[in-house]
Amino acid sequence: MHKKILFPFSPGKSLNSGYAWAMQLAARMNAPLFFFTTVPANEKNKDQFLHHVHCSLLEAQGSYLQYTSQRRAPARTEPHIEQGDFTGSLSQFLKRIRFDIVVIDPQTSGLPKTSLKYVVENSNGVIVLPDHPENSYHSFSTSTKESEKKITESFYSVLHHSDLYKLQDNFFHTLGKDKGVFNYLRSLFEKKRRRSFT
Amino acid sequence: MILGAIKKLSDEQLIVHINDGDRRAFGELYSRYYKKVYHKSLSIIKDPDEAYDLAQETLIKAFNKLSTFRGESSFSTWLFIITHRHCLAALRKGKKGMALGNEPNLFPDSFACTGLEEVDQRFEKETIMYGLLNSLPDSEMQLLTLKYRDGESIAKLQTKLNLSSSAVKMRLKRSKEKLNALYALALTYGLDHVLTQL
Repeated sequence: MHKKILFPFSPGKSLNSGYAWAMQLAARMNAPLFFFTTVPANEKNKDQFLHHVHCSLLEAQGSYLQYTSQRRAPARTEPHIEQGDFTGSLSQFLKRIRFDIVVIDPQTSGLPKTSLKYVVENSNGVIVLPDHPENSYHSFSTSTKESEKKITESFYSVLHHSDLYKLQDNFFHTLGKDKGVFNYLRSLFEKKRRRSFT
Repeated sequence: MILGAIKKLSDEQLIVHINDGDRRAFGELYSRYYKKVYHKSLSIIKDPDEAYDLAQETLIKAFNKLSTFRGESSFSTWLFIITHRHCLAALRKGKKGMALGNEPNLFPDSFACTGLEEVDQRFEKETIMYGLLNSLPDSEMQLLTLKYRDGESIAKLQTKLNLSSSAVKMRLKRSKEKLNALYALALTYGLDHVLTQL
């Protein structure tokens, strides 16, 4: 059974960086990625707001596709857009659906720290990304093997600097099945081998 | 290439750079079109969530297949046709035999086909036709849709639109002729060109 990953984001925040990381995670784990956000209850032009949210997600997708390997199929995604206050609605949502991993990007979630406890309690695992992630996908100008390696490096660097809560033991086991990691490690071995010959 | 220079390139020039592995060119081309694809899907599907899903799929599909773009039409027309095709396929899947399945042909001669390639061509023609249909004034689009998609009789149209039988027939004739003329123009100069002239 596939694991379910959730990436909540506050409306109006730029979500490129956290989105890209969550998409990478979902693709590496072969898991569907769910997005959660809200339309404020007092929003007068709800349709317009909804279009804005959809366009923000499409924009973030473009940013992700730009610097990711075309050989890796993007994860399946599904947005959930509810009406009301973000924190309250997210709490209710997590009560209804239990996710295996919730990815929190402090820059886009807008969640107060006090609410994090609630998110952790109501999900099987939480990854809180670092405040200033180093995964600058924008520094890669080509999709060569070199950039693929850098993306893998940067993915694990972000994971290394993230706060992890309650992640199940099999999380790393699942990640370990990722072919990208194998290719990355193999390239490191090759580098080492070349070095030993010179 | 610096970002400022990339912004000045035409779509077709960007594609050449993308096929050479320039991911910034990819980002530029994507950012030019993701909103248009969303709004185009929305104009066909009408449901914002569904339109988002289809736009997302269309963008992934089209941008992963840029190497197959042969430049026989402008990039925007190519993308537009993929968007339409994808939306129509979704409509067919969702409303089998309702909205589009039992629709009489507006262009019976050109739609007569047997082989797979011809089916594909027919699909493209149909896509152009719906693109044009959506661009007609509401009254004309409604009339053609009621008659040819929903199969309403002249008598029913008379009652619905509060018009005489001859007025309904005359309006149908004019709308059909207008659509036919636009269709011929679109085949000659490209759908995008025709749509911008309307």
